[in-house]
Amino acid sequence: MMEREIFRKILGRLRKDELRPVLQEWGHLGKRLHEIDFSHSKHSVHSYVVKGFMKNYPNGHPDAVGKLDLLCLQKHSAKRTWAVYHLKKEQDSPPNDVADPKEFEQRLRRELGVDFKKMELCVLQHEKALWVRICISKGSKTKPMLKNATYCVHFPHTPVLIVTNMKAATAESIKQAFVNVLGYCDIQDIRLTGRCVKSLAQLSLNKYSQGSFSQYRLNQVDLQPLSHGKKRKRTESEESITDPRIVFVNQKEKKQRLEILNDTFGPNPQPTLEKIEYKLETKFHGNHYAPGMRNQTGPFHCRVKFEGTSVIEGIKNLGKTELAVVPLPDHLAKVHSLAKNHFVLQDKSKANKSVQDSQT
Amino acid sequence: MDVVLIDDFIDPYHHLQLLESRVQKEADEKANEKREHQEVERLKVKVQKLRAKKAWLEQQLKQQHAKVLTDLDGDDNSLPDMGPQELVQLVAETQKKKFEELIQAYRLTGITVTTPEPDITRVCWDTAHKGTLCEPYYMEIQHKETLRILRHSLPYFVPLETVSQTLLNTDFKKFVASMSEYLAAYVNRRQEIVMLQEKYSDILIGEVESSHAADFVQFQLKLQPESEQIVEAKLTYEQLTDILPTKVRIKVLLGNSANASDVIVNTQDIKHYKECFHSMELTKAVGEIID
Repeated sequence: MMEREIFRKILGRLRKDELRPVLQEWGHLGKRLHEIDFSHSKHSVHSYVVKGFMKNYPNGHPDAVGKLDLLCLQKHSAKRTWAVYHLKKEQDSPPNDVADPKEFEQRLRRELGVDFKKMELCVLQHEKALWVRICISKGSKTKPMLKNATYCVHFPHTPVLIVTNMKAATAESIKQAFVNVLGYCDIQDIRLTGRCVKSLAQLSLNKYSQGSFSQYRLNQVDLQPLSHGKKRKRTESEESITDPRIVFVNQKEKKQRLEILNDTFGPNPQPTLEKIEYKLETKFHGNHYAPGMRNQTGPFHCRVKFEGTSVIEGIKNLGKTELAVVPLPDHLAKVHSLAKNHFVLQDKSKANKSVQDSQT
Repeated sequence: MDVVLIDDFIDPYHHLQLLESRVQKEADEKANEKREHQEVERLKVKVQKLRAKKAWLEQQLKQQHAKVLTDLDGDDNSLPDMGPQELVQLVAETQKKKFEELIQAYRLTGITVTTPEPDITRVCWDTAHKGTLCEPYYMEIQHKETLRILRHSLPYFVPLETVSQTLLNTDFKKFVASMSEYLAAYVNRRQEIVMLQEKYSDILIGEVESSHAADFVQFQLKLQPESEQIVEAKLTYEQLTDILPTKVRIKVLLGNSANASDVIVNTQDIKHYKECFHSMELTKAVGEIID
């Protein structure tokens, strides 16, 4: 009975049009999938699915719940907040990475089995990455609960791990298991969080090819040596105002500003980040607006948060719409290449110390 | 009475000698004249030839300019109407086009090194697979006291950090060659998967699954349409510089689903399949298996 409820809960996360492809990929219904009429209500379809599964597996199946949960998460990963971790390797240590999902699952099960007697583990390959679901039960006799599931995304041959919903009680064990399986010596939170797994991966894996250099990564610059003709340069569409009474007096400055922004951010869409947070520990610089603060000698502690659907794109637009002075300061202009969205800004005299802090 | 000079009477030999020398002198003069005349004739002929060559070259030049103009703007008759400044500009454009073609030809070597800024070197690796050019990869390196990688578009799974720590500042040539090896192997593995998908789509069941680095490949084949047998192959490439798989796992299944129970039909066949995958590139191995 419990399993039926779990199935209904998982299937309830999917839209009606997503049910058939997900169930096909799940593969636990077999030929019974074709007997389901998807034009019925969602509740009816869920009932048919559960009945069909129970008929195929009267005693249940150990991996069925985990696999279905993971497939549903892949469709709606943006509903959760993910955090990026960086695995550290000892110099000269041999690589121990594995790209085979089954082998990875076996190794991880062996490592986690040392600390946890009862758990559900599922590893699937999706969009060239290994998606992992780890569900650990609190006691040895209770079944693992859906809400305790931790989800991880790992890109083989990289030291990057993207995690969501890691409970405090099991966090250390799970992190240590990944460190051991992949042959690293330590794991560190790099203070990069967001809802879009693809963007987080892009920011952490391609941090040396963001901004204008993204054109080289996406092969938008040079043609192949044996082809003729020139590659058409992407030009941003300009506002087309055809009213002859309107005269633009600052076209030259506008063009210059757009050129600087293009050099900084590039012509391609920016990775999606929902939040960038700056913790300021600098002296107060607004004495002109707040004369009462003139006598303040110590650092002025302040937190500035940019939030939105795509904050990096928003920062670019600040420059475009003249709300920010161009060229933008480094802590705004280089955000796409820093692989983090939580920053601490300090005065220059403490700059070296802050670099050390961010690296440790 | 004739006056006879005593000298002439006394020395007829001297007179004869004088006559002889006079004749010789005249003969020499005549010979010189003849030689000069011949030389002049020869020079006249040479001048004529040179004039003819000059006329021919002028004609050729006119035709070349017309051809360049045709290439640039399709107008055969623009040369006579163009001023000297325009001609100079056209020649400059033609030279620029020639330099661009030279750079393209340089790229055919596979590794191109340029200097976009005074202290920055850009390396471009052009990849190819079986005679077809694929995408290029770039790296910008700053050279001040030591070499430092500023930006790159290499795939994230290439162990750039490890290789650069050992080779970047010690043996730059070896570093560039090492990166070239990783990229060539990756493109080779990836393109083999693409070719397999295109060439054998009728016997493949579903899509070929692979990691981003193409170092793990998994697919299912239905070798005979009338049979229920499915061959499932998993290939693993231990090193990212490998072109042939180091580990091959073959399963022969019965049924349309991968969840069907394993059935080993013929161990000889499986051994043969494994040998094919170990010794040949992917599409060639599948072709061999089908045959």
